Amino acid sequence: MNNETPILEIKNIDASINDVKILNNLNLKINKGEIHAIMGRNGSGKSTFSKIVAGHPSYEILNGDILFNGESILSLEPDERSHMGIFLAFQYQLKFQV
Amino acid sequence: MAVDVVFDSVSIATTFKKELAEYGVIFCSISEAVKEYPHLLEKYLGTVVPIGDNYFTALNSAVFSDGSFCYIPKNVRCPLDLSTYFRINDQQAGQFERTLIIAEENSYVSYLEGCTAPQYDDNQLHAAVVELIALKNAEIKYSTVQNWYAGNEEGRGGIYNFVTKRGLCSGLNSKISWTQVETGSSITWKYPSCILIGENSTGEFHSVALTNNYQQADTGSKMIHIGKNTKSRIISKGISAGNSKNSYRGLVSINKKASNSRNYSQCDSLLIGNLSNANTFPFISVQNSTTKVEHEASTSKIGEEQIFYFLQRGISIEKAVELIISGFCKDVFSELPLEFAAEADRLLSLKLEGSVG
Repeated sequence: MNNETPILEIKNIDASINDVKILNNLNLKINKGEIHAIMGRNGSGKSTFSKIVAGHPSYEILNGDILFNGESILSLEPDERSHMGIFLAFQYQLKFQV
Repeated sequence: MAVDVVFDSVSIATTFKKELAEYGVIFCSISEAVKEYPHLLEKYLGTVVPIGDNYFTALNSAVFSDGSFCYIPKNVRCPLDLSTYFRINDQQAGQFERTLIIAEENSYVSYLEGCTAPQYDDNQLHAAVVELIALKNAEIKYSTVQNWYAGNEEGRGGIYNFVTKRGLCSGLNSKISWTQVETGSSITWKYPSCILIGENSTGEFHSVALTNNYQQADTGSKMIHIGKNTKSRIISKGISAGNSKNSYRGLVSINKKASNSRNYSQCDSLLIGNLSNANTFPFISVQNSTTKVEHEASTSKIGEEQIFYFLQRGISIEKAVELIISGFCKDVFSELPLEFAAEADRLLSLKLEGSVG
């Protein structure tokens, strides 16, 4: 059992965009040293989850909390979160030499 | 850089006159030119913008008291950038200055113009006339950073800026290039134009017009192609924020004899917020079938998504807007002399402070 504070903890999150609820009671803990891959069908909420962690202003958090190193980050702007080390890396094209 | 300073339509000082005189370049106030060089004024003043051209040129011609005069003699490349700084200080006064620039054969001059005014609750009128004449193989580059008082956040006060600017490319291979950054004034009506008479002559217009709060800018260019093989280029960037209205209004006219002439126009508008307004009114008249005329236009908006991308990479909202605006205007800023370009970039950021977010 790991007793350290998780780096990222998602607690009972409900989130919506344009009054459409996307995430329903989501919970997740990411501990130091762990690498997680979020997988799911189209529309299951993968992007929504990523964007609410980064602080996208279009999404509304209806319930729950997001803790980074034990501190709530819900009130922080996306640029403040990025300075703490939370940011999105988007898809980039890669060229393969044949 | 040589500077002429005009306060409330009166030229109060001109620098580097002696040094310029060594090259034969005349740079002085219009009032001085009337006394010292009457033959040049008689020959050129009012030839490009006639007295009765429009209501405001008639007013200017009736009451103008001063302004700047530049004469670049044959085969001289003006060694300094010439500059005039205009300021309206008096609450009850209008400003009606006159600028006349003549570039003789094979000459070149770069001229810069800057304008500011203090804040008053009343409106003041600025009705200037600028005439440029480029003879054979001559080039005039005219740059403006206009920052007259724009009124307060409710649209109270500010300058009414009704300016007639026109250049005549009368000689073979002559070139006139207008570059303007318009950020001030409560209302602007301004259409710097080129009359391309000389064969192979070129007219250019590069403009950034920024409006915020309740400002209105109606600006653009007129390119009149008369000679053969004449070329013109119009790059206009309009940025509207707050409750402002920003319009591009332009004319490209190709006359019957202007064979093989070309024009390229690009008008881009950027909207910030949901209450601002951007319009484009291009007018094209072609009477010669050998010409090529191109027009491109776009309207875009600074979106929440764009801002978010910047923010989540650690860039603040102010910096994000500054970078988006800078990129949008880069084609125009690259035409400005270096120190003016840096100033214009900063000025736009200041004008937009607090508009997004």
